[in-house]
Amino acid sequence: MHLTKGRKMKKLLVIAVALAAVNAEATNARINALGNSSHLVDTATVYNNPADIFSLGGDYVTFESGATNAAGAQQGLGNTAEGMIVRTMGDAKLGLSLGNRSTALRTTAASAAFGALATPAGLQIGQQNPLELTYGAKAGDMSWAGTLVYSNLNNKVTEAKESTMGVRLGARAGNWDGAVRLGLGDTVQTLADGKYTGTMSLSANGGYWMDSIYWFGNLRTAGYKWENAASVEQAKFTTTAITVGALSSMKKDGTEVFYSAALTNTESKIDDSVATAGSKTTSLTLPLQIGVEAEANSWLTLRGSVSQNLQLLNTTKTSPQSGAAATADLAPGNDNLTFAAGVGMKLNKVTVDASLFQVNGAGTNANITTDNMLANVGMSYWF
Amino acid sequence: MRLYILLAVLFISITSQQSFATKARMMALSNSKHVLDEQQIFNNPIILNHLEPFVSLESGTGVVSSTTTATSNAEGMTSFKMKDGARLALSLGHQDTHIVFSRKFINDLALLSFSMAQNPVHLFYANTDVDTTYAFGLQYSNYRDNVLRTGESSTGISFGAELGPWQLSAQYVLNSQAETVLNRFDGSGFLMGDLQYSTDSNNFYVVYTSMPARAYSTISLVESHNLQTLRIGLIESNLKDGHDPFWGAEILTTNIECKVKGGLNCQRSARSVVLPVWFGIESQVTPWMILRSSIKQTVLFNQSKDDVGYSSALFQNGTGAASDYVEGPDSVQISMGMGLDFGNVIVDGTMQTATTTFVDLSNFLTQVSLKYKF
Repeated sequence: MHLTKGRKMKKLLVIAVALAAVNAEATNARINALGNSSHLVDTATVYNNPADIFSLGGDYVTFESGATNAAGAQQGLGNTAEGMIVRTMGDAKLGLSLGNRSTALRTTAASAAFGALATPAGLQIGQQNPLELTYGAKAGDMSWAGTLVYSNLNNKVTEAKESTMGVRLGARAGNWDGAVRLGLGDTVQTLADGKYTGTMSLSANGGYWMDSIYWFGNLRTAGYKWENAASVEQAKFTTTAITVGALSSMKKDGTEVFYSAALTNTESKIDDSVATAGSKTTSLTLPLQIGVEAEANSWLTLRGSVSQNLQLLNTTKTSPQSGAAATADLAPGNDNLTFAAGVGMKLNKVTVDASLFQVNGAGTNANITTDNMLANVGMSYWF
Repeated sequence: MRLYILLAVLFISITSQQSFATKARMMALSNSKHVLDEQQIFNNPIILNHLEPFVSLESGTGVVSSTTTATSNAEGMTSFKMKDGARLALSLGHQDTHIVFSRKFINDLALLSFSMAQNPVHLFYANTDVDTTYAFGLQYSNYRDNVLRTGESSTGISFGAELGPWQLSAQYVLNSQAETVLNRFDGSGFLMGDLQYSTDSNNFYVVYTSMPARAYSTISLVESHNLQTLRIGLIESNLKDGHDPFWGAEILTTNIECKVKGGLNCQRSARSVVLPVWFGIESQVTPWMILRSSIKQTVLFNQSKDDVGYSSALFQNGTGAASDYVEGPDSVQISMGMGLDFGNVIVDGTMQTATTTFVDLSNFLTQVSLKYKF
C-alpha cells in the first residue's frame, strides 16, 4: 500500500509510540511515586503477586538502587539494592531475584513498635543475601506463579544468626487477581542480645476490576517475640490489619488519573512481659489517594501522587492492658499527608525510573531536597 | 538541579561500540570478565589486540595524589597500530590492583604508611603470528625521598597468548618494595595465571593468584602474609543488536596464611569459599547513548573461617575479629552507569558505585572516562 508522506509520518509516529509504550512497566521508583496504589502492575509488584511476571509484556531484567544515605543499610533494616531477571522457559517463566528484602518478613521489626520495645540494635538486622526463585505458568486465561524466599547468616564464633524462609503464591486472570504471602521462618539471634523470632506471618490481597473501578482488599497478620540471652521473654508483639477499598482509574492518550478510598482497620497488641508493659492499639482510618501518570512525550513519563487520611474517620487509641486510662487517643489523628513524584524514561528496550521526591506527614517540607531526590532509581531491560 | 544535571548528561551523545570501555564501564558492569575493555589489558595484555587504537583518560577520586593514598586514581592510556600490524600501548598513572592491594593490606593491618606506586608507567606490545596472538607487558614505578628516607619501587611483567577460543595470560611482580624511616615493605613475587575458553556467548575461566606481603622493622620481620585465590567461573553473554544481557557465576576460594603478625609468630589462616552470582545489561538505547547496570550477590554458598581477625577491607566476610561463618553477611552490590558518544569521542560515567547501594550526588559521576578512537 502506497502511503502519502503525511501517513508515513503518522505511521512512524505510531510505531515509535508503540515501541516506547511497550516498556511502561517499571520499578520501585515508579510504585513509590504512585503511592503504592493497589491497582499497579509492575516489575516491583512481582514481589507482591508473582503472577505479575505474565502481565509485563515479556522477559526482563531489572535493577533497583537502595535508599539514600543508607550507610550500613546492608546490615540494618533499610532497603538495599536489588535486581531480578525473568526468562521464559518453554511454557513457563523462571525468575531469580537478588537483594530484595521481603516486606512480609520482619515487617514488624521495621515498625516503630520494634524500636519502642527497646529491642536491641544487635537484633535489628535485615535479611542477609536474600535470594528468591520464582516459577510460573499459564493455564488458559489464568496465570499463576510461586516464589520461594530464603536468606541466611550464621557466625559460629559470635553465634550471630539470621534466617528467613517464605513462600508467595499468586494468580491473575481477566478481571481479578489474588496473592498470598506466608512467612514460614524469621529469626535473628546473637549471643549478647538474645533472640528475635517472627511468628508465622500471613498476608493476602485480591482485587477485581469492574469497568474502570478496581475493588481491592488486603489482610496482613504478623508478629514477633524477643527473648533475652537467658531465654526470658522480653516482648511479644502481634498485629493484624484489614483493608478494603475502591479505586477509579481513567486512562486517556497515555495518561492515567486515579482516585481511591479505602477503609483500614489495624489492631496491634504488646503482651505484658518482664521488660514491657502490655498495651493494645487500634486504629480505623480512611486513606484517600489521588495519582497521575502522564506521558509527557514518547520517551518521558511524569508521575505523582498524594495520600492522606480523611479526618472524618481517623482514630487511633492505645490502652494499657492493665485497664488504666488510654495513653494515646487521637480522634481524629494528626497530619499524615504523603506526597511523591517521579519520572520515567523509555529508551528503546530500557526504562529508567527515578523518584523526584517523597515527603511524609506533619513537620516536613514538601520541597525537593537532596535527601529525597533520586532516592530510588530503577532500570529495566526488556528482552 | 540534580535532575537537570542527569538529563543533561543523558543528552550527551555517545557511540556505542561496546568493545570500547573504561573504568566507569567496568564498574557499571560489575567487572565481569567477558567485557572487552582496555582496562582488562592490565591483567591480560592480549586484549590490546582486540581494540582499535585509542586514547583514554580516567578521572580519579577527590583525593589529591599523595604517597600513601592510592594517588588520585586518575590515569591515561594510548595505543598505536604499527606498520606490521603489531600494537603498542602506553599507560600513565594506572595503579596496579595487586601492588596497591598488597601495600594497603599491610598498611591497614599494621597501621603503617607505605607508599603506593608513584608515577607508574605501563608498556604493552601485542602481535599476531600465523594463528597465535601474543602480547607482553612491562610495569615500572619508582620514588625516593633522600631527606625523609622514604621510597618505593615496583617492576612487573605480564604475558598473554591466544589461540582460537583459548586465552592464557600471566602476570608476575618482579619487585615491589617500599620503605619508611622505620619499616620496609616487600611484596615481590606476586603471581597471577588466567586461562579462558570463550565461545560466541559463553566465557569459562580459571584464575589463580598468589600474593605475598611482608613488612620489616629495622631488626626483624613484623608482618608476613600470603593471599591465594582461585576463581572458576562461567559467564553467558548474549550481545545482539547493541544489547548485551549477561549473567555469570563463579566459585571463589580465598586463603590467607598468616605467618607473622605484629612481630609475633602467627600460624593461623583465613579461608573462604563463596559463590557470587551476577547479572547485568549493557544496552544501546539510542545511537548516542548506552545504559548499563548490574547486580552481584553471594548466594547459598558463603562460608568463611577467619582465625586471624582480618577486616572486611582485607578479607571477604572479615569483621576485624575471629569469625566462623556458615553463611556470611550481606554482599549485594549494584552498579549503574551510562555512556555517551560524540562520534570518535566517548564519555562514560558512573551513576552509582559498587560500594554503595544508592544513587545520590556523592556517587554520581564518581568515575568519568573520556576515550578517543583514532
